[in-house]
Amino acid sequence: MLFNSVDFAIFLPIVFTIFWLFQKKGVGVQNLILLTASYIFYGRWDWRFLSLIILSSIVDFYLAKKIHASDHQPDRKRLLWCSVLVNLGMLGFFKYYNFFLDNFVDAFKFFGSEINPDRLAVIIPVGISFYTFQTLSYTIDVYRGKLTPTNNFISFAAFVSFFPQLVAGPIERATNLLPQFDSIKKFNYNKAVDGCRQILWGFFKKMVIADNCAEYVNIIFAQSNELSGLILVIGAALFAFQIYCDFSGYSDIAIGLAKLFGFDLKQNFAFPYFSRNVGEFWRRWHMSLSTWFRDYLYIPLGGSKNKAIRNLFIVFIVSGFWHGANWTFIMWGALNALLILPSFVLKKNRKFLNTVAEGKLLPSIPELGMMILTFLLITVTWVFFRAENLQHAIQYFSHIVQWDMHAIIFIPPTINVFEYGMTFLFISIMLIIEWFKRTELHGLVLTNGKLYNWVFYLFIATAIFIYAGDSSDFIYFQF
Amino acid sequence: MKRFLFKLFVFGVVMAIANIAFLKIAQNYEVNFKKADKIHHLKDQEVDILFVGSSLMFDAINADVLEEENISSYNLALAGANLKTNTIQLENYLRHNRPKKIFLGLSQVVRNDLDFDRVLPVVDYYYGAPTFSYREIPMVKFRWLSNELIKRVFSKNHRNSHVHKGQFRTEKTTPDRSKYKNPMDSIFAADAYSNSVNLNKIDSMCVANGIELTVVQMPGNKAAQNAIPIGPLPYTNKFGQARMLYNLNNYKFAEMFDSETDWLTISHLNVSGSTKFTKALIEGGYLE
Repeated sequence: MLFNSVDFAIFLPIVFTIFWLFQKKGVGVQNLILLTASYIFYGRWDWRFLSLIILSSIVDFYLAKKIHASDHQPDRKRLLWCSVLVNLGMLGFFKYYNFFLDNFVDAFKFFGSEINPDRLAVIIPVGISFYTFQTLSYTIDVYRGKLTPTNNFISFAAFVSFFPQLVAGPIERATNLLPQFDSIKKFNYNKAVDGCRQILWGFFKKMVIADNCAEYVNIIFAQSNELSGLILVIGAALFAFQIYCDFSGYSDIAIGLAKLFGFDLKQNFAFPYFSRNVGEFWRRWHMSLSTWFRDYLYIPLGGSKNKAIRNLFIVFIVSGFWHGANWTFIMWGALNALLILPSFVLKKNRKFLNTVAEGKLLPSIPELGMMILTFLLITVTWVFFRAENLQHAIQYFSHIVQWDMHAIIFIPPTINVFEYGMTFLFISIMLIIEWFKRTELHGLVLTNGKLYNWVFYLFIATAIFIYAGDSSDFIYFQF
Repeated sequence: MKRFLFKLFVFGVVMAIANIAFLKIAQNYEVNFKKADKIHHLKDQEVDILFVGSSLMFDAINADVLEEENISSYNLALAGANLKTNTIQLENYLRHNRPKKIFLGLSQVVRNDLDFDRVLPVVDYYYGAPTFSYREIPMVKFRWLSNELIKRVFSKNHRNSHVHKGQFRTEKTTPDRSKYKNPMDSIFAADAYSNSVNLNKIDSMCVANGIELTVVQMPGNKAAQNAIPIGPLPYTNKFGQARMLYNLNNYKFAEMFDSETDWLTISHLNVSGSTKFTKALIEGGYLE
C-alpha cells in the first residue's frame, strides 16, 4: 500500500479511529491494533512476504532473549551470528542471489569457461533492507549490553513492522522506538498537528517535485545519447532533487504519521543540500542509515583509529551495495568515499557540525560557493545511482563533456516546456521554505494558531492536487 | 482530539471551497471548458458541415471562409479530444441537432490513438456517469486547465486568445523548423481504421441518422508528414461496407503551408494556416 494511494487514504482514518477509540484499553491493545494494521498495510502489497517479517521478528525476539540470558561469551557470539545469518541470509537471497550468479558467470566467461546456471525469478520483498537492519540492530544492541530485551512479543513485532516506517525507514533503533511501545499512547494535539504538517510537506515534496522531476529525468536518461550537454546536466540536477524529494518526502510522511499515533521517529534528513562539504552532506542525508553503518560497521572495523581510510571505503561501498545489486551503486558508494576522502585525511570532515549561516538570513558568498560545489559533486555521484549500468553512466558523462552548442537549446519534444518551468518553480519554492526552516526538524514547522498557516496549507494542498506528477512509486521501495 | 478533528474538518471545508472556486474559474475563463459548456447547451442546430476532432481541428477551420461560400458549419472540436471523446460528444450533440455532413479529423500526427480509452475531462464532466473517486475532485480532474489559466495571467497572447465561430484564435505563431522524417512512409494501414471501435461507432451514428461522413487525417508539421497518397483511400467498416479516408497529412498537400507564418505550435495551424486549409478543403472538394 502506497502512502499516495486511495487505499491508504481509506486505511489511515480507519486505523487512526480504532487506535484512539481503544486508548483506554491499554498499551497491549494499542500495540495489537498497530501490529494488525501494519501487517494489513504490508500484506496489501504481497501477503506471502509477511512471513519474512514474522520470521525475522520471531528469530530476533528469541535470540535477543537468549543472548541476554547467557553469560557464556562464545554462546552469545554464536547466537548473534545466528541472527546476522538469518537476516542477512534473507536479504542476500532475495536481493543479491542473481547479482552474484551473473557475476560468477561473467568471471567464468572471462577465463574461457561457459556456465549456464538457472537465475531465480525472485521479487525483492518491499522494505526488506530496512526491517532486517532494524531487527539486526536490536539483537546487536542486546549483545552489546546497551539494551534489555523486551518480553512482550506483540510490542516487539509492532516495533519491527510499524507501518509508517516499515518499507523505507527511517531505520529506527530499538533504543529509541521500542520503549515507546511500552507506554500507553495519549493523544497529543500539538504533536498530531505537527505530524499533519509534516505529512503535507512530505506529500508536496514527493508528489509535486519528485514525481514531476521523474518524468523529465526518465526521458533525459533514456535519450542521453541524443541530448545536449546542458540538458544532461539539467537531467542530473533534476534527479538530485527527485531523489531528495522522493526519499525525504517519504521520511516526512512516515515521521508525521508516527506522530499521529503518538510516536517520535528520528529525523532522517536535515536539509542535506545546504551542506558545505561532502562530510556534512553525509551527516544530513539518510541519517538513520549513515548512523547505522557508523555504529555497526565503521566503528567495529576500527573506526577512525585503525585503518580509517580502508574502513571509510568499506562503509561507503557496502552502503552502495545495500541500495541495490548493481555495480552502479557500488561505484556510487566508492565515489562518495573518494569525495569525502580529502576532508577526511585533512581531518576537516567534522568541520561543519552546525547549520549553515545559523542566525543569519542569507549565507555568505564562500558558504554559498561551498554549498553549490557540494551539490555539484553529489550530483555527479547521482548519475551513477540513476544510470542503468556503468556503461550508461560513462556514456552520460561523455555526452556532457561533448558540449554541442547547436544542441544546447534542444529540449526533447515529449517535454512540456511550461510544466518543465513549473517544476523548477516548485523546486525553488521548496528550497526557499527549507532554507528558512533549516534549523527545524522539517520544512513546515509553524507556530500554532496563526491565520497565515492556512495560506501555507491551502497553497501546498492545491499544488498537490493540481501538480502531482504521474509517477507514484517511491524510489527507495526498490531497496 | 475534538479540536484536532474540528481543524481537519475545517481544512476539508476550505479545500472543498477552493475546489468549487477552481471549477467556476475554469468554466468561465478557460476557452476549452467554455466551448464544451456552449456545446452542451446547443439545441436545434442545423448546419451543412459539423467539424469533429481534436485541437488540430479546433485550430484548423476558419468558418469565415466557409460563410463566404455560403456553407454553414459548426466546429465541435476540443483541445485534447481523442476519438472516444468525439464519440461521446457526437452521441450527445446528435440528440438535439442535425448536421448534413460530419467532417471528422483524426489526429494521429500528435499520437492520438484511434481507440485510446480516456475521455477528455471537460467532456466527461458533462456527459460521464457520476463516480466517487479521487480523480473526480475538480483540481485533480481539470489539473491541466490550471496551466492554461496561469498562462492567461502571465501571457498577453493567452489573454487575447478566444474562440471565433468555433475556432481557437490567438496571435501566436511558431515557425515549423522540423525536417521531413517519413517521406518514404507510403503504406496505408486500412485495418487500423476498419478495426477501430470508436471510428465504427461514429460511422454507425452517421448511418443511423442519415449523415454523410468524411474522415481525414489532419496535417501535421514536417516531421510528422508522410507520403501516403491523399486518397480517397479505401477501408471497410465493421459491417464490411466500403468507406474512404483522405490523408491530408501527405507532404505534397501540406506544401501550401508556410513554415514561418502558418503554424501556431507543433502541428497546429494558426489563423493564416487555417484560412489556407479551409480554402483547400473547399477547392479540393473534400466538403462536398
